[in-house]
Amino acid sequence: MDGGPRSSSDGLEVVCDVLVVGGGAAGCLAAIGARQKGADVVLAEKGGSITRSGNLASGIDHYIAVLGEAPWDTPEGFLANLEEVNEYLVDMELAGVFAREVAAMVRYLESIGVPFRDKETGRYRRVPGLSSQKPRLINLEGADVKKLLAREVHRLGVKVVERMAVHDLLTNGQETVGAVGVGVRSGTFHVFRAKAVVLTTGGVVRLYPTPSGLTFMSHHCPYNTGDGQAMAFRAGAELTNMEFTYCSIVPKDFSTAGISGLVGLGARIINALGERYMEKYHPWGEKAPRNAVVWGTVQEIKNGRGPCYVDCTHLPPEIIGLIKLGIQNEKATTLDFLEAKGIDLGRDPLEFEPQEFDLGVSFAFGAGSGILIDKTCATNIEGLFAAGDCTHFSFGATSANTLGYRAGQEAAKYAGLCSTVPSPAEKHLAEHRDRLLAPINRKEGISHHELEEKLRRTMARYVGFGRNARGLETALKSLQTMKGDRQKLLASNPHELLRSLESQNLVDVAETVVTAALERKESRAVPCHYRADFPERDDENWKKFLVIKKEDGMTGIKCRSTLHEDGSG
Amino acid sequence: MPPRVDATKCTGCGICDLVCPGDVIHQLDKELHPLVRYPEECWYCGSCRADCPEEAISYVFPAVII
Repeated sequence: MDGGPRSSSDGLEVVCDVLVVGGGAAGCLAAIGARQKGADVVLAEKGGSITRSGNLASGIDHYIAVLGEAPWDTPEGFLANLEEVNEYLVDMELAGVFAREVAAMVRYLESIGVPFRDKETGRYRRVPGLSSQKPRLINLEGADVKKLLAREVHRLGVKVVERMAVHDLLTNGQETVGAVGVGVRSGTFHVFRAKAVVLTTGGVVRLYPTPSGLTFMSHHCPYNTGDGQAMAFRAGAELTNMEFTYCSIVPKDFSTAGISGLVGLGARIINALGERYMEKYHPWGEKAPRNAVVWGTVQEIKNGRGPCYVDCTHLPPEIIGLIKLGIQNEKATTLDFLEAKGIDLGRDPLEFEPQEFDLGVSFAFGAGSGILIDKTCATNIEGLFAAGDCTHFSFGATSANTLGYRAGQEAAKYAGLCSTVPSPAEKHLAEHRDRLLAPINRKEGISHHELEEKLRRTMARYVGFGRNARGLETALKSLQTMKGDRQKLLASNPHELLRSLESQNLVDVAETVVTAALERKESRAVPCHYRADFPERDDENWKKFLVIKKEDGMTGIKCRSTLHEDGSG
Repeated sequence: MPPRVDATKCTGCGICDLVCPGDVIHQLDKELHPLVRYPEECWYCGSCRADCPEEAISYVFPAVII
């Protein structure tokens, strides 16, 4: 191909004030927030429709909230032990913002029709869950939340561009001026010129093999491939907590969300001998932080007391009914799976296992991994904002909505200060175009399947439950080969081009994970980061964040004891 | 092979193709039934089944996990 951005295979160039990349829980609210501030907003989504995309495509059973319904239910009560629960990896400034703003978000969502309240009592149904002894969760009938968000996005006049895989940011020096991507069905190159960009692309799935062996049967949405984290990193944005990979417990052979809800409603966690083992590993027992439940389970299995089960058989029929309703709202196909396996939750304990690692939703309770943002959701790059699971602060959908809205509002404010939409250099556009379309223009090469499979094997072997310097160095070396393999990717149609671009992002994110894991010479939030060569938590030296960034093409790491000490907050 | 479309109920409206978040289901022509083109890339999210107006979609789990 001869390059040049004005080829006949190119799509239209879109110009706007604020470009939101990713139409999930965070992106829809970012678009709404920016639009309410009067900005001209474009929302680009990789899936076919924002009515069903991202982690909420399948639905949701609970939100974490601070509603002032009890003395513990205040921002102060919420923040009281948060640092400790998160092993000092949570951004307390953002946690404060979230705790103060989430109630208003719940009211707003109710105003657009999200059914938070129990139909019979008219009240919120508050329950505890993994990582939350107090009943901070609201159980809701959230199977169709995305449809309600999408309706509001359209009603407000946001221009929605679906089937669009945004792959790289456009920058002029230190300033964001838009992004480029390819059409998922058309395979054409698209340019978005914008005064501000909000990244809301979700977490990073498909980095590790799933327990079932079916790659796309993952806990979180497998089409979330760290696109935002990777493009931000390539553009010079800072990432943090990348060494802490998320892990929860999932039904055996069906990696899905929802087990936290069972525990919240009174289910017990038992081993093969029928013993409730979590008390041995954490003073909170079954309501221990998510990572502690996984770690306890790994120990039980390792010591020959597996398989382990979530046991609901002691619960009354009305609670079993609520549990099934929660599963229905979170991901209805889980009920089909249980039926196919012949499991009746009122009668049979449900075998579970640790899921594949991913990144995004908090690995503890608020502490996430991803793009470093300040309290205005701004990154270190001018005009670039981010929110949700692609950032370093996450309570899942709740914080995606709350901080997504904030990111949209702040991006609109920033855009309001810019007089014109800056133009990217034509030369840069041509380079982007050639690189993005390269896999579909090659005559021979390797498939994204090969590259991804190699990546997942490497991550599982050397960057899994137990890590050490030798293994991590081996993984880094292997990743260098994979970076070379990226230059050989071959796609025979637009769908394969989409997967090829995703696999390139996965390799970039993986490198940040391994680099940070090698740097952190201690163990913390196990099993999210367990170094067998440094098995203890070392607060004296490591009670700090690792911030990772590309400088002059090289990956560099800085340690900070609080995240905003460089004056970015 | 998830999901499965019942050809006797499907009217070819294309909603399943539209709402699939993973570009797994393709309906290229109104006259044809939707094709589950990349079944191994299905997340089992249930979107296509939930939104199918004809209740023509069901899920079949691979034998290896049942």
